[in-house]
Amino acid sequence: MSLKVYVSGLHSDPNPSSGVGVARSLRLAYPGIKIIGIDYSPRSSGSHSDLFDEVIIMDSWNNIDLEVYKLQVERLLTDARSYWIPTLDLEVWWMASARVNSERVLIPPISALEQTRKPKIEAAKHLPLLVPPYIDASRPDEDLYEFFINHGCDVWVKGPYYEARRVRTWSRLKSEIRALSEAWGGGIYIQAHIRGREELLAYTAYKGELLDAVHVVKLITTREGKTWSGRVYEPSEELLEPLRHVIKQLNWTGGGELEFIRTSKDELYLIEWNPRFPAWIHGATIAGHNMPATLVEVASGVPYERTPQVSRDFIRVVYEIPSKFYINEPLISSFTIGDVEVSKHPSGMPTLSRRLKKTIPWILRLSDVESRPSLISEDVLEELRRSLNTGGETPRYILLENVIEKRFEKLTSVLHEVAREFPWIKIKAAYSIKTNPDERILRIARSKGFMAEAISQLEVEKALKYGYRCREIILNGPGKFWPKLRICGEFHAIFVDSLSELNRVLGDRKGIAEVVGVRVRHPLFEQRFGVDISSFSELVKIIELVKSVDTRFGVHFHIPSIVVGVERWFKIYKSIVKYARLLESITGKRVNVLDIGGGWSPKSFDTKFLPRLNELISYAYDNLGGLEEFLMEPGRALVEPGGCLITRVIDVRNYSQHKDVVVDASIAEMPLALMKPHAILYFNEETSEFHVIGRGRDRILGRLCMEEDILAVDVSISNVKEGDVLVFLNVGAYDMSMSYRFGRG
Amino acid sequence: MEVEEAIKVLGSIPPTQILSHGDEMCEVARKYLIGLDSLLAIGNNPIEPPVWITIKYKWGPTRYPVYWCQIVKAEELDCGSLSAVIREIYRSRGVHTLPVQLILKYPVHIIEHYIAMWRRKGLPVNWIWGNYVYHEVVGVILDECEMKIYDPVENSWIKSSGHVERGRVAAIRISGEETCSYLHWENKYIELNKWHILE
Repeated sequence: MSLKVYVSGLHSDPNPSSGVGVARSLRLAYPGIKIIGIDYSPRSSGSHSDLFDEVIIMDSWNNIDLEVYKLQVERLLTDARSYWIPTLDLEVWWMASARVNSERVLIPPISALEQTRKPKIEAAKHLPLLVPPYIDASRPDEDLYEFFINHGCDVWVKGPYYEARRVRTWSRLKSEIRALSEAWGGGIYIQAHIRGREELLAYTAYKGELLDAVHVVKLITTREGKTWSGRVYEPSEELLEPLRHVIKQLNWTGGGELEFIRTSKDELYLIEWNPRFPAWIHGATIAGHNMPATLVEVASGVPYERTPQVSRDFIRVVYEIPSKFYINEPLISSFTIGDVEVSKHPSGMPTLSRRLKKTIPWILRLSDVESRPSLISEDVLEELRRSLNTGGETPRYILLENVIEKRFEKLTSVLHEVAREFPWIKIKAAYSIKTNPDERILRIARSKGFMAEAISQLEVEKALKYGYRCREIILNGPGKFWPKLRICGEFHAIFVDSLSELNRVLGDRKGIAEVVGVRVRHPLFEQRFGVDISSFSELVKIIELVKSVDTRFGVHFHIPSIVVGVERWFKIYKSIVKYARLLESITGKRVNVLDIGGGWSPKSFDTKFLPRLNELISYAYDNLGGLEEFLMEPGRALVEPGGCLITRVIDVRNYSQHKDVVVDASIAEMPLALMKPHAILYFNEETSEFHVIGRGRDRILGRLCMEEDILAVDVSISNVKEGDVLVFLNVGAYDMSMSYRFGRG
Repeated sequence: MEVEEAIKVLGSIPPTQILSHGDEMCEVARKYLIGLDSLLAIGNNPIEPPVWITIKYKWGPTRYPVYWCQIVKAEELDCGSLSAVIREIYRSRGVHTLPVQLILKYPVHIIEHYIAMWRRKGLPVNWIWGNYVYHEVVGVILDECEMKIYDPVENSWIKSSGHVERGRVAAIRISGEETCSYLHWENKYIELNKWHILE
C-alpha cells in the first residue's frame, strides 16, 4: 500500500500557509505517493496547484460541524499508511484538543501547545531566548497606557494566533484592540516592539525526538514581515541542545517554527512558537534539509529519496497557473464600513478562533487572573466624596487640592534628598503654568518652593499676581516677545526657541534673564520647537551667537516621555547631554544650566523618573564640567490626578450588544477624552459610595452633536441609569486647561 | 592572473583621509558629525554601524583632496570618504577601526555606469580597471584580533565568503599597525598591510 499524505492549509500569497511548501518537499522526496490537499476556501491559491493528486475544499470554518469533521478526518485516515500534516495553527489546536486520530495526525499533544502558547511561551524558559514584555489587552486602560509609554510608545497589538498590528498612538492602540477582539473573540495582547533582525528556526520531531532543524536569517521580507528570501544555517549547539531537551519534554510530534529577533546586543527574543512547519519550509529542503519528508519517513518507516543541497539561499517568485476551482467575481459596490481592516485570510482562522472559544473556553484566555479595574486611593475618594456631598451643578470640575499638594510635597522632598548628593548643583523644579493655571495650584507651587515656567506674557502676569518674583520665573515657549512685554526685572532664565530669538536676547533684550539658554530640537523627532541642531549651517550660527552670551548659559530640551516612551526618553537625555558637551568644546562656553522640561505621566514620573533622578544629574555633572543648575518643569505629573470632572447621565440607550449613555459633559470639558485613559467612577448619591467602572462593550457619549464627542469606549455601565453621577478622574492637567466653550450657549 | 594585474593597477591607491584646513571650521564640521551621531545613534551598541550616514549621504563621486568643511556640505560621498567619516565616528565612540581596501569584480554593464557618473563630474576614473573596481570599507576591530567588515555603500557587514550584491570580492588589504599581525575575519586570517586574493 502506498503512502497517502493529507496536507491542509494551502493558501499561497505573500502571507502564505505552509501547505504548498510541505507538499513540494514531500513530492521531491516521495515522487510516487499520493498527496491530498485540504483547504477551506477555493480562494486558497495553492489548492489550484498541480502538486496535489487531489484537493478537497471544505466549507468555511463557520459551516463545519466539528464533530462531523473529526469523523471525516478519521475516516480518511483509516488506511495504515495515511498521514495528515495540518499547517494552520488553530486547526492544529482543534485537532490536538479533539484528539483527532492522534497516531496519524502529525501534530504535538495539547499539553505541548499550551506550553508554547503566546504570549508567555512557557517552554522558552528552557531555551537561551527571552520573551518580549507583554500585557493582556483586557487589563484596565491605565495599565495598558503605562505599558505603552514604558515601551517606547511603539508596540504590537497581537491576535491570539496570528495577526499583529504595530501601533504608535494610544487611540490607534485602542481601535486595534477593538478590531482584533471583534475578529478573534478575545486573547488579544500587547507586546513591546523589539528592534533587531528577524531570524527563524524550523524543526521537525516525532514523539519527542528532534529529527532535524535549521536556522534561517530572513534576507527579504514582505510588508507584513513574512519571509520572501532566506539564508539557511545549521543551528548552533547552544540553541540546538536545549531545544532537543525541550522537544523531548513536550513529547513533540510534527513541524515547528520559532520566530525570534536578534538585537544589536546579540540577545534573542522569541516572538512566536508556531506548532507547524513554516511556509518557507521548502527553502530548507533546497538547502538539504527536507523536514516534512523526514517526519513522514520516521512516522511511516518508508525511506525517502535524499536530495543534495542545491543552495543555502532561497527566494520566492510569483507566477500564474490555471485555476481549478471557481471563484466568485467581486461585486461592484461603493459600500465600505469602518477604517480598521481585519485581514480576510482564506484560512478562516478568526472564525475558527471564535468557534473554539465556545468549545474550549480557555483557548483565548491569557491569564487566570480576572482583569480588575484599577484601585483608586482612599485619599482621593475621601476628598472627592466631601466635594460631591456639597452638591453643585454638573458638569463641573473638582480640584483635589490635598492630592495636588501631596504630589508637590513629594517632589520637594525628593529634590531635597537628591540635593544632598549634589551640594554643588542647584536642583530646582518650575511648575509649568500652562498645564493648569488655576490660582490654587500656583499658590501650592509657590508655597512648596517651586519656580514657575511661563510660555506667555499672560502667564508671567499671573505668576507675578500670585507672588512670584521675576527671578523665580523661567520664560519658555515659541512666543515670548509680545508687543507689551512685561518688564519685572530679570527673569531667572530664558530659553530661546530660535536663532532670531537668541539675536534679540543678545541685542535689544539684553539683560532679560540671569540665564540665557537654547532649546534644542532633537533630529529624531518631528518638532516645531527649538533650534535645529542637525543642520550644519544652523550650528555655525548658534556657535557664533553663543560665543557672545555674557550671562550663564543653558541648554533645554522638551520631549515628552508620553510621546517617545520612557526608556527612549532616558537615551535621548543622554544624547542631549553628550551634544551639550560637544557644544561646550566648540564654543568654549560652559553649559551652566540644563533644563529637561516635563511631559511625564504621573505614574511613570513616580516610578521611573524620580528613582533615576540621581543618575540623570550625575550623568550631566560628569559630562558638563560647568554644570551649576539642573532644572525640570513638571506639570502633568503633578496635577493630572488632582482634577475630576463630575457629570450626570441624561440619556440611556440600550442596544442588543451594548449600552450607550449620554452625559451632560463633553469633549469641550475633557478634550483629551480618548487620547489618554481616564479612570471613571460611578457615584451612588444615596450611599455616597463609589464604584470603579471596568472594561466592557459600552460607551459614554458627550452632549455635543459632534461625532467625535465620545468620552469613553469599552466600558461596562450596565447598572448606570438616567440621573446618575459619573466622575472622570485624572483631568487635572490639559483636560482642564485646554477645555473650551463649545455647546454652552 | 587577471586579479594580480588588477592589484598592480589599483592596489597602490592609499586609504582615504579627510583633511583639515587647520581652522575652526574644519574642526566644527568634524565635531558636528560626531555630535549628530550622539543624537541619532541613541542607546546603540557602539559596534553597530552609524547607519544614519548612509541616509544622509548618497553614494557618488568625491573630489580629492577632501576637507571636513566640505564633507558636511556634500550631498554625496564615495566609498572612501564614507568609510573615513565612519571611522571617525567609531573613534569618537571608542571603537577601534582600520581602513579596509577591496578590489571587487563586477560585470562590465555595471561598471560602465560608474565610469559615466565620474566622468560627468569631470573626475578621474583611476579606481576602475576592466572588470575590477577599487572599494573602501571599514574594519571594525572586536576583541582579540577579531574583525568585522562594514560596507557603508551596501550598508551591510561583508561576509568572508566574498559575496557582495552584484559582484564579489577579488582581493582585500587591511592597513594599519596592530598588536595582532593577523586579523580573524569570520573563517579567514588576514595579514595586515598586504593584498590577499580571495578569488
